[in-house]
Amino acid sequence: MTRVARVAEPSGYMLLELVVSAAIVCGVLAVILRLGATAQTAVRAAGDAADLQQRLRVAVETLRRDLLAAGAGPSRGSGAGPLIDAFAPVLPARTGRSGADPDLTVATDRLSLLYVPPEGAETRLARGMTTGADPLFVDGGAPGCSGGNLCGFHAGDRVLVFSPGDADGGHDVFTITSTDASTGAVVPAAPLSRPYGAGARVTSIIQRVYYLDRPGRRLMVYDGDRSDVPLVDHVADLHFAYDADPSAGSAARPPAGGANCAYAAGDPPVPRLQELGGSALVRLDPARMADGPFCGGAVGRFDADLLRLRRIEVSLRLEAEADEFRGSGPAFANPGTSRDGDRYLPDLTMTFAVAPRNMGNTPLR
Amino acid sequence: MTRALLNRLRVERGTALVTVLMVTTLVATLSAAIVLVVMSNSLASANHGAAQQALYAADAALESTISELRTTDWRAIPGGDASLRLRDGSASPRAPDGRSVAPDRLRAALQADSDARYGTGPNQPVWYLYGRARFADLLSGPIVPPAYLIVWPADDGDERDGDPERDSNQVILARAEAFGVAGAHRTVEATLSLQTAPGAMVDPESPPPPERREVRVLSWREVR
Repeated sequence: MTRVARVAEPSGYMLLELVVSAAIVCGVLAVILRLGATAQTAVRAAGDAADLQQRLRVAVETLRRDLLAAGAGPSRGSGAGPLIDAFAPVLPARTGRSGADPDLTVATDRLSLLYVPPEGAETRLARGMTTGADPLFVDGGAPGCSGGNLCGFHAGDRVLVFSPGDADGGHDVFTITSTDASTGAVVPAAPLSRPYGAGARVTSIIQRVYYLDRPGRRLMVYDGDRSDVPLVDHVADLHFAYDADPSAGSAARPPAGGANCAYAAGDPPVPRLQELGGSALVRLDPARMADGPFCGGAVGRFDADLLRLRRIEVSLRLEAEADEFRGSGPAFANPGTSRDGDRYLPDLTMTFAVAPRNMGNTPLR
Repeated sequence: MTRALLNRLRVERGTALVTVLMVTTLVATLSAAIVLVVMSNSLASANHGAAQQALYAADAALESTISELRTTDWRAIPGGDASLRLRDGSASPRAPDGRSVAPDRLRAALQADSDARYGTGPNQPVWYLYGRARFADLLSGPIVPPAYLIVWPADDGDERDGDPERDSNQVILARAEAFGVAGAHRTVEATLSLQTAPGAMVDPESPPPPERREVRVLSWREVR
């Protein structure tokens, strides 16, 4: 076959056709892939945005629920009433068995609260303790006690004991290690800070400590005992602020002639708290929550201004989970790798205030 | 037959259709994913909002009841649809989302729940209907969340007078329920104590002022 004949054959055009068609296919594929990649990024960005909002909802709802209930006390029997009548149920610090802050700590990124659960056991001490290391003998016939001599208390339960009549706001929260149903004895895991007299209130308690794990960027919730778990990931910031009743007489008042850490003896008792002026709630600065007067015993001291807390403001800042959706600049607490608008999910901040329903209703004065 | 089929397969017409279909499928799948994510998020957001509205509506009903109870004689538990503010005369009340809110059925469920919690006996709390109304009937204003409210009082279970229809220790229970949109239903319960104090004396010559009555919330809780 000659060269001319080979060139003239139709099969000689196949390579050119192939190259042209390959170029067209590559062009079309490039467009398709670009379209697909953009759409895929959009899907992932939408998913991350939804996840960001859902995490924020979970955090807000959990905090709101516990803050609303904070300070709920025993609801049955003669000593029924909110915990704030006896001591401060909300503290700007971490409390509990492990890693507790020193007394009088004021931190803006952690908060501890206590409340008696609606279905919790409620009773009182049947007899006084001699030392703080004694077991507690509970009254199986007290109002709110059901479930036999032990009123439904079990090993492992978290329990609050306090004396509403005590003037200093002393109280203990402990975990039960063992019980004796025949005598109604409840044994705490560790000695209490003081012995309590007969009639002291003994109730189930819910303890919650919310704090920010800054290195891990997690909102943590601690139950005061062994459970210390993350609630929400990728939390860039958490801030608590506290608003108080400005009246010097806003803390629960002792009986005429009596005194406590918030009132000096008198008829009527004389407030030790400072008048903050006006009638609207006043933001407490951290210094005021640690300058006295002080309540509590040698252990568990707190500033008496915490007895007039009426509202807690929470600011939460959450960030997108993936680095690729976080850019740089003030919209991002922790910069990421995003360089274009397709991958841009700025931090989400929510500030909300909760007035705990059990901390705003003082007795008739 | 086989040759004809092979010839038809050699023809390239229609290959563009395959490409178009593949691209369309890809784009449609990704679009559906985005729509699904956005819809789920919107639904979650709406449900969360409805639940919040219902909770605060229930709390408002409780506060309204507390305000009314300041001037109410507690010795007889105030049942029998006695509320002056929560008054809805409809025979078959409905929640904003169309659910039936049957007081009799709700009361039976509440009583069963209460009996399980407080036990039964001559001093067990017995729940009565105090009032029911639409939230818009309780509050005026341009932005009132849609909700239907019901309030139930009961004598507390700690007295020993053997009469759940009468209060002898000035402590009662009150439960407020709110039914919102999208199936939202929230309930709050409070233990209330009636306290009295002498009225403020203005003029020693004038007759003694009436005593002041205050309802104190001993315990507030959200029921789940």
